[in-house]
Amino acid sequence: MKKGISILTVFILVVFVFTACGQNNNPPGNSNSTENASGTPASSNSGAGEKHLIVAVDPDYESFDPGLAYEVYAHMVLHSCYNNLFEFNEKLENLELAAAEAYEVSADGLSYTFHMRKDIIFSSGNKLNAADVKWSIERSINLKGNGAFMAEDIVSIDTPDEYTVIFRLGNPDPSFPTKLTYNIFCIIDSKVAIEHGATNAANAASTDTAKTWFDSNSAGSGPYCLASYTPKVEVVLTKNSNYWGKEPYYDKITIKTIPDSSTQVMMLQKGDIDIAINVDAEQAKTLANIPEISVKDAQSLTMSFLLMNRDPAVGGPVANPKVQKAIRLALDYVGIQTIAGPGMTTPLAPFPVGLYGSLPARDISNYQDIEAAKALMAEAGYANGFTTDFYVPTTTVSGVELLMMAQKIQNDLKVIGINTNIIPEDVLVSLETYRTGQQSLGLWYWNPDYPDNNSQLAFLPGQKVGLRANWTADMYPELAALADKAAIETDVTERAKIFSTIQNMMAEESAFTCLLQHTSPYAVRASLKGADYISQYTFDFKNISE
Amino acid sequence: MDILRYIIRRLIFIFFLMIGISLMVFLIANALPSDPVVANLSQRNLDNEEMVAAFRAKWGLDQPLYKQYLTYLGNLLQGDMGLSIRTSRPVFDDLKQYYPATVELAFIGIAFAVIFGMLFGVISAIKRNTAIDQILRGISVFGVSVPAFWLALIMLFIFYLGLGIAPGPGRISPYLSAPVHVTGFFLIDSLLMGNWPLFADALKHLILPGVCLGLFTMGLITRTTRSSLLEVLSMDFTRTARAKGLRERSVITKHALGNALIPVITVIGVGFGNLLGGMVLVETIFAWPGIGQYAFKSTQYMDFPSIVGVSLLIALNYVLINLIIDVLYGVLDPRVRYR
Repeated sequence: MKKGISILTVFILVVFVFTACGQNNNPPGNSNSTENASGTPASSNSGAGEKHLIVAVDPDYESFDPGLAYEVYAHMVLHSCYNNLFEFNEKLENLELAAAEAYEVSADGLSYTFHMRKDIIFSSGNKLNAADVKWSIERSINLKGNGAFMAEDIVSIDTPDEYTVIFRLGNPDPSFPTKLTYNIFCIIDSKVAIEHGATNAANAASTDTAKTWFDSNSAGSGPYCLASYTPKVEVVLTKNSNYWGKEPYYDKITIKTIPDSSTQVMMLQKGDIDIAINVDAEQAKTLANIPEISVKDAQSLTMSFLLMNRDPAVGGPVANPKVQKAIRLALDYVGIQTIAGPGMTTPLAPFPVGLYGSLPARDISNYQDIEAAKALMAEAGYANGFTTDFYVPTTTVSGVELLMMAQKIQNDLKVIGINTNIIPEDVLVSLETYRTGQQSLGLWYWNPDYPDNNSQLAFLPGQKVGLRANWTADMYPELAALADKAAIETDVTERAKIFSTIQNMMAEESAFTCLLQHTSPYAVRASLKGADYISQYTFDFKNISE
Repeated sequence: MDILRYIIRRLIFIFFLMIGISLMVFLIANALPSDPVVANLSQRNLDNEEMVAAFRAKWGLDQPLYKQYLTYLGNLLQGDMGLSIRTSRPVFDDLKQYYPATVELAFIGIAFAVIFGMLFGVISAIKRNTAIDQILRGISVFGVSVPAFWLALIMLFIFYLGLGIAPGPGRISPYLSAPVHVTGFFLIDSLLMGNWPLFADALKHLILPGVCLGLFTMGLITRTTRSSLLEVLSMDFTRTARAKGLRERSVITKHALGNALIPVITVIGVGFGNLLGGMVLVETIFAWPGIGQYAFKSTQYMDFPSIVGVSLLIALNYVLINLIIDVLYGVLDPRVRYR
């Protein structure tokens, strides 16, 4: 028995020494290396001198089928592999044509005509043409995935010639070009996709069998091809040799699944990765002192806000508009931003800063006014205050714990006599009462469905989110009418004016108070160029170089 | 023959046990106050009645609960564990994907725990109440009490980032490609490819998480081995062996240790079962694509087929390990009879 134990102990020690001695300390910046721990070629598909970018992410994706993928980080992969008719370049205000070279909108806003580029070749070598656009979008619509709602206004897609596509819409939709940047509008090589079981038939949801293939392959014309996907391990992208645009710098991109932010930070410090996407505010402070690492802020479109129910049967005293205004004035926005971390802003109304038509953030330096808030409480008949339930989902938004933010709000409201019973609930449980308008006071978050302020009109009275606060159109008919007008206004200048009016009105009178527009820090090797965050795609890999 | 009959009887019992477990998990998962529709559809689609109805119909959620279960059970008996709502892949394929990573790590963890746990336990018992005993008992208390996720972070910080003698997270180094999938066990698949550097890299990546996971079980084994051995060493037959003039080493290895192993084997079995169930936090910190993370995500998305699938797999681990342990009892102690 003892002999056996001794042999095993020696074996373990030998293994440990062998493996520890063989450890290669990969220094920062050498992830271009194609050698592994033993100094031999890393793998059969890693050629000498290959430029290799390694990104760490806590991913949300489960599929890379353009018709089905809807998750945030899936965009990052699919945007590298496919072209759309439009794309965002660097900023969300810069919407640019991609696979099309020109387009026209009819006077009634119901028809969009695109003239396609003629020099685009798919990675397979097939030419991209209008038929591929029509087929791809029809497939996405018929797959009925989570993103299909973005195409719900399309009545028909016509291709009068090989390089012209005409979309006819049921209603004018000024956000249509923005929607065209989304995954469901990725242009797929229809010939290749059909070979792997894809179909654009009306019953595609039940007959299309290409998802498994799309999960680890791509059929696009973007700068990269999806080489492999190992769930919970990595996504590997390789350069598309047929790419029609400027050749990207990196030959290969590996997106590693590293769920823990501390681990991402250690790997970046060690030089095992080039980009750590999920970094929290405290870690960012530590990394900021390391010269080889650059810490940046990703301005997201995610907002957290306070919902104040307008139905007295649900909200009780909270339903009173004067109380809601008092709550707005009582909050210490500077303190809330401090808790959340650097780089946060507080939008004037639920229209994220950075989108076309959004006004600058609220000037919060002197906004808090306790005396005015108390006066409003007295006017509303609650000079002695009241007690209300305060629903908070137990989750974090861009690294900010909502419960922690709720405690700050609880303290702020106490000053004007509002006592809140914080009710922490699992997000899935809380969603039910939030969606059905049963929460008197709630702390919630929102990420626009697509980066256009039309998506934010949901917060107006009578609209989807507005109704979660039981804020009906008849409670503020002028504002409700503006929502209808903004939704279909195609004139750019007039649209901006309407949005400006809406935001100014909601800044003073609303069932919502915007608390934060979130920012998430991320960290990259300092020598990387172009590793700038774009909300729609997270990163555009073709822009990144050394 | 007795033992064979015993094993067959237990295997039949396991079959019914699995059905019972599937029913229990199914009912508990459905009793939770959240809805898979809310967990899986976007907020926009939740407002679209047609989409919600299509989702419910697609996943059979529009059927009465008993029908859902009977359909699931019918498919399960034909070897079909259903499709995962979250990943849209067959649950069996998902388990096949993630389970080898967990098993590979669990073997390293249990090997570490058994080797060092028994070694420390025996030394501790022999050197009872000496400084060595106190140190080893301290190590075992540390192993049992320290949270594995905290230890994982600290070990990474010291051995990977600080000293640079251990590799980072993941199953292999980030700049390497995974071996061609044959078994899903990287050690085996890299050997099948004849890729020794990849094998060495995969082995290195197992050490830190393996030690982290194995430390708890090691602590238990140390304590159990020590107390069990001390008890045996005070029994009459040990005294007789000593009185016969046998050397202390022979008394311990040939007479005492074998008799002291029964409770140790039980602890090893339970510890191995725990490791095979996956450790969500350690897997998260070490970016280990195991069953723990899969189970955690499945519960977040109320993915019933995956939840039941994972539960069945974990339950199967335990009952099979228990069976092996029961058989081992007879091997270690001839007085044990199987009926």
